Amino acid sequence: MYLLEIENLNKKYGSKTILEDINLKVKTGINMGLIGPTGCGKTTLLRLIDLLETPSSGKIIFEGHEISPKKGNLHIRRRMGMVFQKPLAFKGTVYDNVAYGLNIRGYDKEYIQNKVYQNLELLGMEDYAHQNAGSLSGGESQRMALARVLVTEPDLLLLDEPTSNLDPLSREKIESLILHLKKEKDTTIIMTTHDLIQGQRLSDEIAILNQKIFQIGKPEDVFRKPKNQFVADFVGVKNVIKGQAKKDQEGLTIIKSGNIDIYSSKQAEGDIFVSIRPEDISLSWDKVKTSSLNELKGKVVEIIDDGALIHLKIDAGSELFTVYMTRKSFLDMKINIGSELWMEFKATAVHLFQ
Amino acid sequence: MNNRLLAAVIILIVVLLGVGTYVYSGAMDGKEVLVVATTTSLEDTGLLEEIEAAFEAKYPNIDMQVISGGTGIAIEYGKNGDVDIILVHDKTREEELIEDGIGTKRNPFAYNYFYIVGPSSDPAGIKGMDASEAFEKIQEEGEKDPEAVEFISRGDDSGTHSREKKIWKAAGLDYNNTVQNAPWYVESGKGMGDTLTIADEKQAYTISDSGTFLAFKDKISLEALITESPDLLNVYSAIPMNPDKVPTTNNDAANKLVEFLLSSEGQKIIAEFGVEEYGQNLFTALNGGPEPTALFSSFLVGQSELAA
Amino acid sequence: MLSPVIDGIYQAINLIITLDPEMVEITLRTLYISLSSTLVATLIGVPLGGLIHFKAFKGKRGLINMIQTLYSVPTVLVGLFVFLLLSRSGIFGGFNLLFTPTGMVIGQSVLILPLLVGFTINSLSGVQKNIEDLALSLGASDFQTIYTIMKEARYALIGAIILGFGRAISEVGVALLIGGNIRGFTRVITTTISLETSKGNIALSIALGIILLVIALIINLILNYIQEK
Repeated sequence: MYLLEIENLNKKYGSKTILEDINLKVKTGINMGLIGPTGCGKTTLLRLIDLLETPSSGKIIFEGHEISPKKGNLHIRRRMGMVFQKPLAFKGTVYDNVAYGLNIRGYDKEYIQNKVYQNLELLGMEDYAHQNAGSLSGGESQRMALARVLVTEPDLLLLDEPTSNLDPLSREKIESLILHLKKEKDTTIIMTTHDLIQGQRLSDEIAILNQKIFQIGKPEDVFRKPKNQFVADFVGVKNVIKGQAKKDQEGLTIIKSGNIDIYSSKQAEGDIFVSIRPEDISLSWDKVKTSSLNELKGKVVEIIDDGALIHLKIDAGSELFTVYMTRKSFLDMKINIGSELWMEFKATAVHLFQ
Repeated sequence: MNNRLLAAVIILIVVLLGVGTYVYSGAMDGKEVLVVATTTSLEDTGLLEEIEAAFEAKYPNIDMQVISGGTGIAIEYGKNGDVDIILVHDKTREEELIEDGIGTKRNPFAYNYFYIVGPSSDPAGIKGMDASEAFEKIQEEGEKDPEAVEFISRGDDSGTHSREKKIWKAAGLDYNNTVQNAPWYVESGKGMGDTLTIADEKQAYTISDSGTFLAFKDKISLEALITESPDLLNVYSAIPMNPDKVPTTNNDAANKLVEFLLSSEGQKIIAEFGVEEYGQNLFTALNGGPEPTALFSSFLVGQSELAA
Repeated sequence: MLSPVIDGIYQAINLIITLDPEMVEITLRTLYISLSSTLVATLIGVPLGGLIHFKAFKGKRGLINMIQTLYSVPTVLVGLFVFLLLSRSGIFGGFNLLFTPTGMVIGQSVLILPLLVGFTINSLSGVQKNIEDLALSLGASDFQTIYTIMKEARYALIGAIILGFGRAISEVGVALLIGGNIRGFTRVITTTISLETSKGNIALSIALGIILLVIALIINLILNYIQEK
């Protein structure tokens, strides 16, 4: 069952296109991460879902019913809650702010009080209840904003960059709260972030967005198997090589790029991109017999010490490869600039995309 | 915040209702209202306040409300039907009003004299002259030295202003061309009291009704230089609005006021008013006698104005 | 020329201490009329300003400019305009409102209405656009959203009301033309000052002026107290 479905959604401001042909299905209880660079339309998409803006065309469907910002949608709006990127507060105390959603829903005083304190505690804000909301720091404001939404127990929680520009403590609190909500409350969350690692850590599914959606899937699929150049670039996929794919024997594909031939177990034909994750490439001084179909010779041109991993740049003629190895094996192998090494990787590790 | 604000608004409304009731109760509770427009001199001297008190004591069911302004605006109120009776002092315009049928009848009830007042040094030397001679002299001296001799006019179409214009005319001067634009002639555009104050500040001449001048005497240094010239006679009359022309008027109460003003009781108030405070009466009661007639010395005054 | 001022202060203190009945009466009437007109103008002006602020329509900018121009309309002009309407020969002559306190309330309300409408629009524009989104996203109905924005603007709104009250209690044009300065019925502090000055009672005028300022101070303190809560 999908809680939210978006079909062919477009949004333009004047002649400027913000969102183009968005299609998205969000299952009940999952955490969907919307990831994209700044200005990609993430915030606009959340605002459209929250009925704060009207789509130029397309449909937003909530539990099977189309919704729009026109009148008569109060009961739907009251099942959603949004936390804005910029901390915002009504004039008054933290308590007044957090109680707002319950007050306008007409709950009785006692219920409101319990709820407010319960949620303030959840966010470590109970001592701030009677402080002026305008006097909070950025992180405190953001936690208050979360408490303000959570008291209303929304079925769909929209979080716009919930941890950007926050201090580490607030960031950690908010992240653990999001995980808690997912686990304990079964709240459906759509969250935007430009932080890949955070998106990966917190989300069940991620959508890579830049005006249109470039890829949706489980984080590991999106990171491991980018469907296109934009996603590959954006998720930081290394070793992207452009080439021509041709069918080879036994269901393999051969991709020719300059003086390099690469075998892949995926099926494709014509112009294509290839990517190989740096950690999937192993190195040796001598050409050894392995099960790997791909064996390429190259010269080490750069060594970067990342602390945990050593990044090597290896020139293989027409392409420059990035390879990661542990410090230990790097030291064992005694690699230097100029060392000539063999790179080996499996055909199944070669990812193809348009 | 909400409850407090609400409470504040409710308290405000309750207080306003309470005060509003109080404000009205003094004047309104079932009484009929008689609206009187009066020339400022009757109100500013305080005469009308005494008449009002006595009148309301006699007719407890009538609330007399006094609006004071110049004769010009009083007549305008009368024409609009905004007042029931006017107390004014400009015979020419009063007669026009009767002719037009807007007022029912002129009822002269008191008189006094306009005074020509000025600095005690009397730079134009007008003392002992009659009014039109004095005005002629003021013009002459003013032309010679506008710094030393100035004249302040009400300039507001009031009864006093109207009388002033008549005297300029009687002095053989063209008011609109010779007088009004002269450097020694200043229009205040204000009531009698303000005009006296201005004249005092500038040590200039002016014309004032005697009542206001006497009431002001202690506050200013000006002196009444000419007081009893026959062309300075100032007659106050009461004119009820004609219910045929002004249907909303309270003609009944207006007639009661006229009756009261002309009664021996009313006349006594007028005759005695000011004696205690200023040492002399400010108004002379007619006491049933005929209306005195202003006599203009100059032959230039039209026949209509000379006729009683 | 300072002596009338000192005299006036002395007289003011004297009038206040002895609770001079005429002064009390005039003061109460002044308060009644100015507060009533402020209340009427607020009850009309704030919702009207809200309507103009929240509705998008053609000529909105022009309308706001016109309202702001009316801030500086001379009080006597408003007085004259309302006089012509309320006069028995005017459109609303049948209600017999000329020369009554009610007429004065109407006149002063008309006078300060543009001020309240204009400053309501100003103070609502001063509320961040985000606050509207915040209210909506937390599930506020349209009405609740408007109420929330009004509440956010309350400091500025109370400022507008204080300003309106200040203009109402201090003006003389409307009070004189519509009220007629009838003793015991429509005489208020400003018209009394005007009358007493023309009668040469400078000290009494100054005394009344001081009383007016004291009243204005008290009202402002009360409103500020409410505002701070």
